[in-house]
Amino acid sequence: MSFRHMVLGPKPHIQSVALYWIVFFALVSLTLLTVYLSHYDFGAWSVLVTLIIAGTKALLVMGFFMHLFFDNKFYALVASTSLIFLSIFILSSVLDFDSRSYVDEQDANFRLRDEKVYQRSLNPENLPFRPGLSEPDKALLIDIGPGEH
Amino acid sequence: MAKNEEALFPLADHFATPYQQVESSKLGMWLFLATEILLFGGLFTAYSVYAYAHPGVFKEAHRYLDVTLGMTNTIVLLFSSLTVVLAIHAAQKDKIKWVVFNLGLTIVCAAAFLVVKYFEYAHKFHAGLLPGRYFTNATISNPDQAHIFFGIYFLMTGLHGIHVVIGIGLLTWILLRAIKGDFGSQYYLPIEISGLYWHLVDVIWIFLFPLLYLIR
Repeated sequence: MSFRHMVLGPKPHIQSVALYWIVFFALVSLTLLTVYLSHYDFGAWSVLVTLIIAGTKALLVMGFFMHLFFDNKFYALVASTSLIFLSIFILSSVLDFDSRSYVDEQDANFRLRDEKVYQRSLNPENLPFRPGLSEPDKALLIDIGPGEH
Repeated sequence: MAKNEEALFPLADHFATPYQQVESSKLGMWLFLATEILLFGGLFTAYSVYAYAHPGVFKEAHRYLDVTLGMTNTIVLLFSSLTVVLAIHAAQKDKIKWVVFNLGLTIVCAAAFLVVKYFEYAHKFHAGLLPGRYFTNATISNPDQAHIFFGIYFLMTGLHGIHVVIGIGLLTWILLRAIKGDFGSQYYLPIEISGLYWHLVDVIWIFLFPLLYLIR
């Protein structure tokens, strides 16, 4: 190892301008794709499709623009550690909420009622079907058994 | 180029070599970015839990956001990320004029982002689509819960907006230093570090845009 190498480190990998422009156009295409796909209903899969496209875009930005693919891999370790712990945080919170309906029936009804209100709102004739903020709409209340209200 | 190029490299006293300075600065920045991810992570968790608990509310309320404006802002931010890397590239090639040009373009894009955001916010203020008890919109079918979506919307985009404002300040400082002639192919570390921050702001928006504007 030369003295120069010890002091200045390895020569930085200078990427070509063309690469950056290609990544940029890939990012724009993925943005247009995700907007286009949002017109279709994939049901429960739509969140996953959205997140896969967003994740790919984030990977492109972090890998090429933030130089994670070319720099010291220790930075990539730091970045991915925070992402791993964040996903544990989100996943455990959602799993917690998901499993509550097994214990408390009211929780499942909450989601059901929400879905029901949404389905009614799809018909423009029903809008606005609750002009005031008070006065609950009886038709939307789901019976959750005696003594639960 | 001068013969003793090592001497041209501004080296802080507490670093042994310029290489160590670059590596530790970048590591420090990545550690900071990790905490930034966790900061926004709390809000993304709130989003996930509420979107899970109120699927209908989220599906209906998001129709009140303008997808075209959101998409425009996404592309503006992506382009500003591109100009930042082009500025770093120009610095590596000693093209200081291009550094200044690209950094200036980045700041213009960031300002454009905030202008679009202003129009979006103004529309929501007029329509009464606000968090908590300030929610006064009567056209939405589930007003008792719809304010939750807008609470999350304003918190997430607001915190992101604050980051954009900080980014503008940071990039302006870097731009002024570039004009002064502080940077060259031997020393462009501050551009890289501020660039990392700016890219993170972009990455967060990449997730915010589909989750808030495109869910169904």
